[in-house]
This record gives sequence, C-alpha cells and structure tokens, in this order.
Amino acid sequence: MKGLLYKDFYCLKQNMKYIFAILLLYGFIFIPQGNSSILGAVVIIFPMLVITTLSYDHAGKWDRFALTMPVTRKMLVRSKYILFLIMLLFGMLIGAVFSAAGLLFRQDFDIMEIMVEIMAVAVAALWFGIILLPLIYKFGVERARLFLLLLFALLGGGMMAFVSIAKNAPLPSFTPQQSALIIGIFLAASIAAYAVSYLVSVKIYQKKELS
Amino acid sequence: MNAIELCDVNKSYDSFSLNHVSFSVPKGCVVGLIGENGAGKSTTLKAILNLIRIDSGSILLFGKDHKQQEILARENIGVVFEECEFPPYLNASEVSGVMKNIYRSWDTAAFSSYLKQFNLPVKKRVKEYSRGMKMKLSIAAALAHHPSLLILDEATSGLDPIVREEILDILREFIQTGENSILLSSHITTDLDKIADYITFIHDGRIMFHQPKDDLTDRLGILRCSREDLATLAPGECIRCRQNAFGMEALVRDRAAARRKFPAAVIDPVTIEDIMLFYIRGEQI
Repeated sequence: MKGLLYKDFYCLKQNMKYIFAILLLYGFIFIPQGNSSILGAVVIIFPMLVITTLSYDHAGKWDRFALTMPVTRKMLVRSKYILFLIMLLFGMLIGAVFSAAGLLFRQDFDIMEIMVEIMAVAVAALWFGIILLPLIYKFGVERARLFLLLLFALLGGGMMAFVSIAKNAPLPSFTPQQSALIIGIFLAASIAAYAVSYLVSVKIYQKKELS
Repeated sequence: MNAIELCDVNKSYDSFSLNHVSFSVPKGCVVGLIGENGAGKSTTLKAILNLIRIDSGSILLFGKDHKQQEILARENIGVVFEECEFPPYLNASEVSGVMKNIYRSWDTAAFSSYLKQFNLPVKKRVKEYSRGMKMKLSIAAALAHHPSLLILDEATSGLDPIVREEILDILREFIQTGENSILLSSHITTDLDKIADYITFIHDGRIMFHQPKDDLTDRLGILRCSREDLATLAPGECIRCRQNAFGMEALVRDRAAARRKFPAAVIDPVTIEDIMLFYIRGEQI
C-alpha cells in the first residue's frame, strides 16, 4: 500500500516541480499586490493531481500489473483516496505558507479571512474528490474529465448566481468566527461524505474487469 | 503438487469465449501456452491472476482457490506482461523503492545484482529504455521477490534473438532447483522448443492438447505422401493433413508406425510450430 503511494509521488515529482515554479512566479506577482486569489488555486491544484496519476495509471495499464502483486483492488482505491487527502493537506500547507509570505509584504493582509478562504476552498476541493473519484472508477479518467468541466462550470455558475442574489438582497453577514464555525460543520459533513465516496468507489472497482 | 491447476474454466464475451479450459502447471516444470493471436492465451492468464472473473470452473494456485489468500499467493508469483507496465517516469532505483513497499519478500540486493547482470542503467528512466531493456527490467522485478512461480505473457515477442536467448537463460536458471515453475505464453514457438516441458495448445478458446513436449516432438511426424496413401491410414492416426504442390502432408500421431507402413515415404520430425500450423490450417480426415 505504501508502495502505491511511493509510485504516485515518483510519478508526480516532475509535475510538482513545474507547479511550484509557476506558483512561485504568481506569488511574486500577486501577493505583494494584496491579491490572495492565488491561494484558492494553490489549495485545489495539488489534490487535482490525483486525477493525473489515475490517467497515468490508465495509460500504462498499471492497475492490471499492480493486481498481479500482493495488492488488492481495495488497496488501489484506498491509496488514491489517501493520496487525495495528503495532497489536499499539502495544498493547504502551501496556501498557509503563501499567506504568511503575504503578511511579510503587507500588514493589511487579513490572516483570519485568508484562513477561512483556504478552508472553504479545501472543502470545495474535497467535494470535487467526493464526486469525481467514483465517477472516474465508473467511467474512466477520460470521460470523467467531462464531469470535471461540468463541475467547474456548475461551481462557477453557482457562484455568479450567488453573487448576483447577494447584491440584490444582502445576506446576513457573518463574523469570520461564525463563518469558520459554519465551514467547520460543513467540513465534518464533507469528511463523512468522503468516506461514503470511498466505499462507493471500492464497490464499483471490485466489479471491474481488467483486460 | 501443481503450481497452477485449471479445471473446466469457462468465460464468455460477446465475440469470444474460453470453453472448458483445463490444464495444469506441475511444480518444477515449464509449461508453454501456445496459440494464435486471439486464441485465448492472455485471457487464460488473466483468469488465473483473477484480473477477470470466470463464469464457471475452478482455478487453483499452489493447491488453493485463486481467490483465496490472494495476497499471500501473490507474494509467491512473478508476472511479466508483454509490455513493461512500470510507470515510464520511474527509474530502476525508484522501481525498487516502490516494490520493496509492496512485496514483503522484496530483495533489493538481488534486484541490484539482476540490474547489473542485465546491464540496466539505474538512473535512466523506464521510458528511455529500449524494448529489450524494459523486458529485462520487468523480469528482474519479477524475480527479485523470489517467487516460486513465474507467469510470462508474450515476454519474448518483439525482442531480438540475442536478448531472447539471454531471457531464456535466466528462465533456465530459475527452473534449475526443481522447486520453481513457469507458465509462459508465446507464439514464438522456437523459444518453447528450447525450454518447455509441457505444451498446452489453445485454439479458439479451447485446449487442443496439453502434453509433454518430448512426447510431441519424439512421436509425432510429418508424412509426405499421396492422397491415396493417406486414405489407407487408420482413423485417428492422422491428426491433420493438408495439400501442397507435391501431394499431401499429414501430421501423424506415430512417426515410427508411419515409417513401418510407408517405408519409401519421407517422414520428418516435427517442431512445435509445425504442430500449431497443422492444427490451425490443416484439415481433419
């Protein structure tokens, strides 16, 4: 099982280097301007790399090979769910590092607000995993990518709709502490949903034939 | 004990099916699974490895159902597929890093010595390897956890004769102790002439025969004669025949008996390839 994670880390090594280079570049440009929107991207981009590993696996018929080793289907699925969480935490950590860097440049950086933002994006990213991973196991990476686009479109559309509604009828505003609490509750529910998603993926994958 | 035992295995797809497949791989033996492309060789191997589910029948690995104690059994099996399936971005030392966290019995030192023996660069990525190198890497990885059974699917196809011979040497060394077994599928029948103890011939999803190779090559023969002569053979004596420009060629069950019957006729010994061709392209009389 640990071996499966090692394999994914080795495979992602190159991608991670590029992502770091780009993030650093963006960070240097945007953070001094007080623009924290990059933090969202930082948090979401790392867990999304799990999809990249799944597409590598598919292209190289890795699963078929791995299952000739002392590896079960359940272990294969579990390793991806664990990888997703590790990457999500890693993304959050990098996001926090970026925020800290922002503080160095600008004293008016609202650290609480940024932490809330990182957590909100993390929860959103988790939901991407919750929905996408079973779809990938069911339909394969290529077709599931369409779902990813759809998810992004829905999320974007939803946010735009939310903003336009909020403009016309201002919603009750929360203090950062209150929003943190709401997000915390939502986070707990999301983690439960993640567990369910894992079980669904295992169920789907157990039935799959690997020719 | 048999390392692998298939009994009446059936599996059907829309356009292809395995029908009542039964054969075994005795301990200490090399069994060559031959057949054309699409005959069911890979499907059979995948069924053994539980990558596909069989509709009926039973498959035993080391005497136990292949779905039981899968993890334990897998520690004991090395598998090499036609294409090297290690991720292309890994180098050999990373492959070792992955495998030692998958196999309890992974032997890093043995793996390194195989790499050295096969002249495989440690720091080069798999995608930069040639086809022969990839295959040798796969075999090194399959051997480095000291399995007692090797399953190879078309492992020698697409390789030049030198590399193929090297690989056969490795397999000979593996089998020497008498404790280990090999099941290898191939359509390069000359490799099987050199190494196999048993030949299992699968055609259109059915096992045509499963016999010791020496029985086949020592006893079977190709009789060249006229159609009239052929008609005088007892039923069952001629397995398959075919017409060529000069008359008839018949694959006969007993070369010596045919010689006694037709002292003047040309009767040649057979290779595995001849047998395969007769079965597929010849006709029954």
